[in-house]
Amino acid sequence: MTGQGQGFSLPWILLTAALVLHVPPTSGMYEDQIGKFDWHQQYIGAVRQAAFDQSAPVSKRIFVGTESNVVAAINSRTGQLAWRHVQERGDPWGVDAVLHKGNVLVTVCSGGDAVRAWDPASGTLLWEFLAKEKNDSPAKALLVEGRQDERSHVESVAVLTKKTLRILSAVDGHEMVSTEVWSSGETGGISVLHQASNGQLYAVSISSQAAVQIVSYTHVPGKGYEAVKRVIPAGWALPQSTQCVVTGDNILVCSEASTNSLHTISLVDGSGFTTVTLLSLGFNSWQPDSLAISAVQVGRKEVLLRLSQDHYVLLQATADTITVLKDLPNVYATTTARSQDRDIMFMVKKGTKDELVVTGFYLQNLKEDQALTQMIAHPLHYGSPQQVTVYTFLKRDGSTGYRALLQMEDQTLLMLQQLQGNQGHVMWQRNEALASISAVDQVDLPVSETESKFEEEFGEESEEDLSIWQMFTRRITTQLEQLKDLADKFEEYRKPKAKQVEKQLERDPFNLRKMIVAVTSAGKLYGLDSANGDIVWQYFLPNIRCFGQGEMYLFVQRTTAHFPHPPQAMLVAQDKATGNGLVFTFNPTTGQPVNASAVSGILQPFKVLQAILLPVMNNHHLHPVMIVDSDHGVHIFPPSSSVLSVLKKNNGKIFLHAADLEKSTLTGFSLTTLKDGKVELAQAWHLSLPIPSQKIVSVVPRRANEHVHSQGRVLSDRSVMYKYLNPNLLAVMTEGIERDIPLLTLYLVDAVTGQVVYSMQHKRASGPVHLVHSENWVVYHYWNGKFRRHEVTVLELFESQGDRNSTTFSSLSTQSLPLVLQQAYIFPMGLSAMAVSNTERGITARSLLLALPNGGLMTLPKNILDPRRPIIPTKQHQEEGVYPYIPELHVNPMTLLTYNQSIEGIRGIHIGAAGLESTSVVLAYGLDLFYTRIMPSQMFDVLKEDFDYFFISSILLGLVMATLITHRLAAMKTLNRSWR
Amino acid sequence: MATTMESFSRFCLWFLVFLPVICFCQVLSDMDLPAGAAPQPNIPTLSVTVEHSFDQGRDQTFTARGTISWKTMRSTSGTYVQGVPLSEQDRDRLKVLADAGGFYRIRVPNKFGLIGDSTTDYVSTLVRADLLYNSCLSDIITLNIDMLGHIIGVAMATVPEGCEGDEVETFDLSLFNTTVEIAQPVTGPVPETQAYIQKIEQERAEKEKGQPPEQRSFFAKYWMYILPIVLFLILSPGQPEGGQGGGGQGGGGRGGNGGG
Repeated sequence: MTGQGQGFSLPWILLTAALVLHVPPTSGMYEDQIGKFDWHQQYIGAVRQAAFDQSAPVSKRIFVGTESNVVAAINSRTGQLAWRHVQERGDPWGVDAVLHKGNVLVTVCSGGDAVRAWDPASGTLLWEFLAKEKNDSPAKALLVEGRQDERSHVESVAVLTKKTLRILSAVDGHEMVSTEVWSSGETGGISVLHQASNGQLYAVSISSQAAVQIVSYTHVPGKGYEAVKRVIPAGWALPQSTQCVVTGDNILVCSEASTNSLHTISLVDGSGFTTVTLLSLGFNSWQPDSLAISAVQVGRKEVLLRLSQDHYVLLQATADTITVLKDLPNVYATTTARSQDRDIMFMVKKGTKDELVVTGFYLQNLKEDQALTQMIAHPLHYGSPQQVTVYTFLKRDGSTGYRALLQMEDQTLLMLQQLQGNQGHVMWQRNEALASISAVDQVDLPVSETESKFEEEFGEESEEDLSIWQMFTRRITTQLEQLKDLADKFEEYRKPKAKQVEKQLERDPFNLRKMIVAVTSAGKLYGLDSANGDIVWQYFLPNIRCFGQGEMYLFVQRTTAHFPHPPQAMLVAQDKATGNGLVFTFNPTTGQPVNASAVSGILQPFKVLQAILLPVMNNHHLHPVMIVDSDHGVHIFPPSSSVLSVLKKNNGKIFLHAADLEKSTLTGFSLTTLKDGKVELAQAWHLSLPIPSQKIVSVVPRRANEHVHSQGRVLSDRSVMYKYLNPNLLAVMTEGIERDIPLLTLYLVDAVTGQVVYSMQHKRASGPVHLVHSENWVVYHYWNGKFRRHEVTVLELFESQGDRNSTTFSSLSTQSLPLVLQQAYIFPMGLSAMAVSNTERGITARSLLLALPNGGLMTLPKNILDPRRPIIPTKQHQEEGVYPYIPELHVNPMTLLTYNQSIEGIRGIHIGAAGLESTSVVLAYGLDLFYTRIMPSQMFDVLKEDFDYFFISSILLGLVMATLITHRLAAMKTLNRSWR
Repeated sequence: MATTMESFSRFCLWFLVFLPVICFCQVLSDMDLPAGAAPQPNIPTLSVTVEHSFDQGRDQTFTARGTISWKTMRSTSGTYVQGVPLSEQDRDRLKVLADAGGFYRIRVPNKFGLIGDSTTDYVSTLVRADLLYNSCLSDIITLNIDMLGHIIGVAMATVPEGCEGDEVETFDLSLFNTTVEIAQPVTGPVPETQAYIQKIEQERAEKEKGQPPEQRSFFAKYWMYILPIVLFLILSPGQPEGGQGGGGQGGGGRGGNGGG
C-alpha cells in the first residue's frame, strides 16, 4: 500500500524536492577551485605482503596486500599509487595472501572466502571466487604450477582454509576441486600448503588432538585430484603455537614455541617426527613469543628460524637432523632474491651508530658480498624494521644492483636504493600509519614573531614586581625590536627572494592554517600542516595501543594563545605489555616531549577507565587532565599544587560520567576535594539500562565550550521559542532486541543529576547509528527494518516556560522539562560518519557533514532538518523561512565537498573553527585523508574577490570633494548675502 | 423508509455483539504486563521502595524512606507512601547538609516486583539539599520505566513553593510531600509519507477543480492571437494584391470558422 503510493507519487516528490533543495544556498564550486582549499591523500594501511612486479622486464610496480584489506600497486620509483582496490572489511588481519608470478596476480582475503585475480598493469578485476565459510584465521594459498612444453606456467590457485582445500582455475577462477580437510568431528589449525617439484600438493594441518595431518593431492589427468591422508602422532603440537614450513626437498620442519623445540619429518614417506631442542643446537636465549620459522625460498633447502625480534638463524634440515648453517644476530628482517642464477639472502641489520645496514650473502657459499651493502640513517621515529622485500637487477657494469622495500615498526614504507660507496638512499616513503588515525585534533599555529614580541611587551609575567624603570626599558627594547622586525619585513617585501630560510609555521591572519595532530593506532604521532597535508613533525611511541573501543585520548591542555607558555597536549593510551595507562605530554606544534626524561611516555600503575580534560585552568593557563582508574580512583595530571587549589575552589561543581558498555549502565560522579588535598569521586547518579533490549552504543555530549549565538527562534507572531540549552545534556543511544524485535532507544540525560530529560523508542529499527548533538538539537541516522530504508530523525528542544530569565544554566536548580519537537526523514543511503560544523562564535548557521558509503562527503544545512517543517505551509511559515515538509532528503551532487573524488573508508570527521566566523575547517579521516573548508552561510564576513575597490573609493573621494566645494560655495554665498 | 429502520436495528445488534469485545480489548491494552501479573482495577499493584542518604563522598549508606506504587504499566503518575517519618537526627543532618551545600540522594531498585532476579542494582539521583530543605520536603520523583518492568532511571525535582509562604523553621519536616510521575519512552517519529502523499493528491485535486475543462469556443480561447493579426490586416496600408493578401484572407477565414 505504502510502496504503491510512494511509487505513484515519486515523480512529484522528486520534483518538489528538487525545487525546495535549490532554495538554500548550495555550496558547489568552480572547476578552477579544485585543490585550492582542499587536499586528498590516499593510503593503503599497514602492508602485510609485498611483491615486485614480474610481468614486465623492468619492474615498475610493487603489489601489496594490507591489513586494511586493500590490494594496491605502488609505483616503485615515486611511491605513488598506480591502482588501489579496497575490499570488504571485517578481518583484523586484512589480506591473507598476495600471490604473484609472471602475469598472474591473485589475492586471497576474508580467511579464504574471497579470491580475486587482478590484471597487474591496470588493476582490473579479472575474476573472483566467493565462498561463505567465515573462518577466523587467515588462509594459506599458493599458485600451482604445471609444465607444458618444458615451460612452467601457473595452472591454478590452491587455497587452504581452516576447513577446505580449494583449487581454482587460474584462467577464470572456477572451482576445480574442493575437498574437506578434516574428517567429520575433527578440527584444528592450518599450517602449510606446499607443492613438491613433481607437482604433488601437500596440505599440512595441525589437529587439536595432538596429531599432524598430511594430505597429499595427486593430479590425475581427467579425474581431478586424488587425496591420500596420513595422520602422524605429534604430542607436542598445538594448533595455536605451532608453525611449520616445507623445504625444497620435501622436509617438513615445525617449530613449537611452548616447548622451544624443532621437529622434522619427510613429507613423502616419514612416519614419525625427529625432535631437536633449541638448547641442543647451542642457543640458550630466545623470546618464546617471537619464535617463528619460515622457508627461505621456494625450492631451497634452508629454513630460517627467528629467535627474537633481532636474531635469526639459518638452518638446514633433513628428515632426521638439523644443522646450523649461519647465525644471524642483530638482524631485523631478511628476504631472498635471485640474481644471475644465484640466490642471495638480504638482511637488514643494526649498524654501528643510529643507522641501518642492508646487506646480502650468497646462499650457496654463505659469503657476504660487500658490494651489496648499503647504509642509511635510522631516525628513531621509524622504530625497527619489520619486513623487507628486495628486487634485484643487473647494473650496466654487470654487477647486481637492488632496491629494497622496508616496512618499519611504525608502518612506514621506505624504498631504498644503493648509491656509490655503500651509501643508501631513501627514494620515497609512505606514512601508512596515517590510514589508522585513532585520535585527531587541530591546533592553532603559534603567532608570528612580531606578534609574540607584542605579547611580550604586555606580558603577564608578574608585572607588579617590576619597577617603573624596568618596565620602561622593557617597553622601549621590545618596541625597538618591533621596529626592526618591520624594517626586516619591508626588506623582505622589496627583495622577496633574499630570504630563503625555511620559516617556522606561523598563524595566518584568519587562522585558517592549523596544525593537525594525529595519533595513530600504530603508536605514531604526526603533526600535519593543514595547508597541504605535509608532515611537519613525527614521533613514535612503540609501546602504546588503543583502548578496547579503538580510541585514545588526545587533549590540548594549553593552546597557543598563552604566550610565552608553550602549547601542551596530552595523550592517554594503553601500554602494550601491561595494559595499564600511559601518559605522554608533548608540544603539539613541534612534537617535542615536554618532559625530556620521558621520551616514551610515563607508564601509570593503573588501568584507565576514563580520561577527561577538566574545564578549569591553573595560573599557567593549563587545563588539568583527570584520569579515572578502574577502581574509580582519581589521578590528576599534572598533580601540581596550583591545579589542586583550582580544583578545591571548584569543589562539588565538577561532574563527569562514565558508561559501562558491558553492563549497559551510565554513572555520574562528582569530583570532591578532601581536606588532605586528595581528590575523589562520589557517585552522583546511576542509570541502568536493561540488557539485551537496550545496550548502550554511544554517549554523545555537547561539544565543550560550544558557542550558541542565538538563544531562541523568533516566530512569525513575534513571539520567541527559547532554546533549551543545557550544557550538561548527554544523548545516549541504545540498541537491542526486545521480544525478537530490534529496538533503538534514545535517552537525553542530564549529566549532573541523571535526570532522563526525554526518551524515545524506534521499534524495528537498528544500527549502525550515527548521532550528532549540538546546541539544542540531536540528529541521528539509522536503519528502519520495517520499511527497509535509512532514516534520519531530528529532535529539537525548547524551553517549555518561556525565557528562563537567567544567563547561566544550572542542572541542579532546573525543574521544568523541555518541549521536544521531532521529525523523521528518509535518507537515500547509509552513512559511514556524521559530524556537525562548528565556528568560533556560533553565529554561522550549522551544517551537517555526512560521509557517504560511496566516498562522498556531503553537507546538509541544519535548517533542512528542522522539526518545524510543516506539511501544509501557511503564510506564517513562509515568513519565518521554514521549508515545507518533504519526507525524502536528497543527495544533491552540488553539496558534495569531495566533488568527483572518493574518500575511501571515512571513519571520522574532525571540524575546527577558523578565525573567520563564516569558515570551518574539515578533516575527514579513515583510510584516506581529506581536508577542506566549509562556509555554511557563505562568506558573509569577507569581501568578494571582485569587489570594486576603485569604484567605492572614487565615489567616496568624489563625495568628500563635493562636500568641500559646496561648503566653500555656501560660505561665499552667505558672505555675499550679508554684504547685500 | 423501512429499509433504513432495518439497517439501523441491524447496526445496533452488531454493536451490542461487539461491545464486550471492544471492552475486552481496552482491558487487554491496559494490562500489557509481563506474564504472571494479575492486575485488579483500582488497586495499586506495582511498587518499589525508595531509599535515601545524607552521606557525601565515596561511601554512602542508604536508609528506607518510603514506597512508590502505581496502578498499571501505562500509568503516568503514582502514589508515594512514607514509611517511618523522618527522625530528629535525619532532620538535623538535612539541615547541616543544606547549610554546607551538600547533596541529598535517593535510590530505587532497577527492577520492580514482577521480575524475580537475584542481582539488584539501584538507580540513583541527587538534588541540592538546600533546595529540598527550603521547599519543606516537597518534591517530585520521576521514574523512567520500560514495558518489561525495568526502572531505567530516577529523577528528583523540588517544588520551590512547597512551604506555602511559611518559614521553613516553623514547618514540620518529618513527612515528605511527594508527587510521583512515571515516564516511558515515547514512540519515535516516522517519515510522514502518507500525509505528504495526501497533501500532494489534494493539491492536484484542487488544481483540477480550479481549472474546469475548457468549454469556450475557439475564438474565445485564441482571441489574443487573432486580434493582432486582424488589426494588422486592417491597419496595413493598401498593398497591391499578392501573396500577403491571400495569407490574410486565409487567416480571416479560419477566424470565421472558429466563431461559427
